[in-house]
Amino acid sequence: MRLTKLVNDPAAIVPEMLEGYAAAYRDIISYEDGLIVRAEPKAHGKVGLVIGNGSGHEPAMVGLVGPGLFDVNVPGPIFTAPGPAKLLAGMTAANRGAGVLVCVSNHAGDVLNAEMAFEDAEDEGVTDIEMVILYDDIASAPKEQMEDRRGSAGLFFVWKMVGALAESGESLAACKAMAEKVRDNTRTLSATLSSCAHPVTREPLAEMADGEMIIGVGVHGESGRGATPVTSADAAVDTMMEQLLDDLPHGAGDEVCVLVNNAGSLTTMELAILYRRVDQILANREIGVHRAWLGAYATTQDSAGFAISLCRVDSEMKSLYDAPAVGAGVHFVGGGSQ
Amino acid sequence: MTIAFDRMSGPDWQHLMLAAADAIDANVDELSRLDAAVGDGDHGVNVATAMAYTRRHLEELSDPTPADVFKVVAKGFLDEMGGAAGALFGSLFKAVARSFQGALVTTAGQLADAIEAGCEIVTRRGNSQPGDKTMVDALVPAASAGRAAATDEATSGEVLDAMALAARQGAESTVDMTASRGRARYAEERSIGVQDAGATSVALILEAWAAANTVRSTE
Repeated sequence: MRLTKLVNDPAAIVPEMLEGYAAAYRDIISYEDGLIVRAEPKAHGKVGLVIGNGSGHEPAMVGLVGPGLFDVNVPGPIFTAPGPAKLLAGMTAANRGAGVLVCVSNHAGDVLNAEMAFEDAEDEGVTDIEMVILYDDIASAPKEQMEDRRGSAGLFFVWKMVGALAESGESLAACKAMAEKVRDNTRTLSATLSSCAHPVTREPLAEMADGEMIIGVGVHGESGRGATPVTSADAAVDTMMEQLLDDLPHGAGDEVCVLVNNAGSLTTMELAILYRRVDQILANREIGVHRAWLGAYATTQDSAGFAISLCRVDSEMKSLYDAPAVGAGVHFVGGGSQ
Repeated sequence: MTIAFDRMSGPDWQHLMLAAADAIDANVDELSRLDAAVGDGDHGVNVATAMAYTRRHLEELSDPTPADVFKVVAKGFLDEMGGAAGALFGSLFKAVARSFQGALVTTAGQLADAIEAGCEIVTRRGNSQPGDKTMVDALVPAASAGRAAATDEATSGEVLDAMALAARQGAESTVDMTASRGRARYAEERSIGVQDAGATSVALILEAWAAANTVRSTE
């Protein structure tokens, strides 16, 4: 784990990172008044999509603003959700006259601040806003307490599909319903081999012994089910896929989109070897793979970890996933290639 | 009787809140260390960020009302700190500001009312009870102690002293608890043996108020 970060003033990490992103991808995004907005706003009369999040997980979510994705990202401090005033400003910036959907990854800070932003919006007479609370991490609560589960890498599928739906001009109610549908068909499980240092305090988030792995960690390194020795990539995937497919039973003939997310410092080589086993297991169960994506979508600095996310898809979801989309961190050219 | 003297003006609250900011600054590393056991180890840095905003803006206020002071504090926590802690501390101070609204000076009874109102919103919004190992473990006993101390003859200083003592005892009681709310709940048994960072911040703030008020009263 690297304790030293190549940064300037620790207090300026977030704004300097956002300035850099916006400068590098100025054709896609712009950094204005603390918000990441599209360089070219969505056409009037379409639903606006907003997400707030703690920083430090790049390219999430600054890299998910653009055509076919979010309209506005409200970045908070490192690993800390933004406050209600910033969220409300983000909601206002995303309004294109057809309502705004605020997507909330289920973490205490994100939910509390979104609730307060909605109370403030109500006081100010803002209407036509909806909130959807999203979760996918099967390690964070049992199936019977689905709504207590936290949001993690699999929300990628929500952003992609709802982003496409909003772009197509569908209503606020339809966008919210689709977000819930994708959520309800998505399951994620994460594992890590090493934690990371907090960029500001430079203290490790957790200490792990070399050669050990923890399955079930959260996006901030929240510990899962205890460390186990690492044996092989296949063994790790076998354990995780069994739990994923047990949590949301899939039948022969079902189709899924798959994400193997890099939490920071795994290699692409490792991701590919992990995915190889995922693909074998799905084939053995006669579950079809519509698309798979390997890469760093949501990171926790340089943690050596990964997440496997499965999203069961129908024909509508498949076409939404395949629609073109461009962000600073992802690029869907249409037809599913990225 | 020192009732007239005892009433606290906006500038008095300004003075107490700046003392609280100093107390947090002096304990940044300790608060982060407590948070590191169960979370991402930045509670101290984050509270200090809210307090830096508070200090900067409080120093600009001339002759504020008590509510003006707490509006600034609430904004510091809500807008600058963020996260669950920012929302909850911000809600606490927003409720205090609302409770003090319209008053040029606050009495011992109004002080007890304000902290009770703040405590009520924090427990409701955070959906937390004493025993969950959160800031509520310091705040609920502080609010009760403040209410009990706020008799007709009581001074604000007596109410502040009672709240500070109860908050410190409440914060210390979290050492043996298991976290069950927020991100810390995933730490489970790892959280036992470590005092809750949020409860510790509550105790530091209330203790700083009590100490600064004692100095103010004897000046």
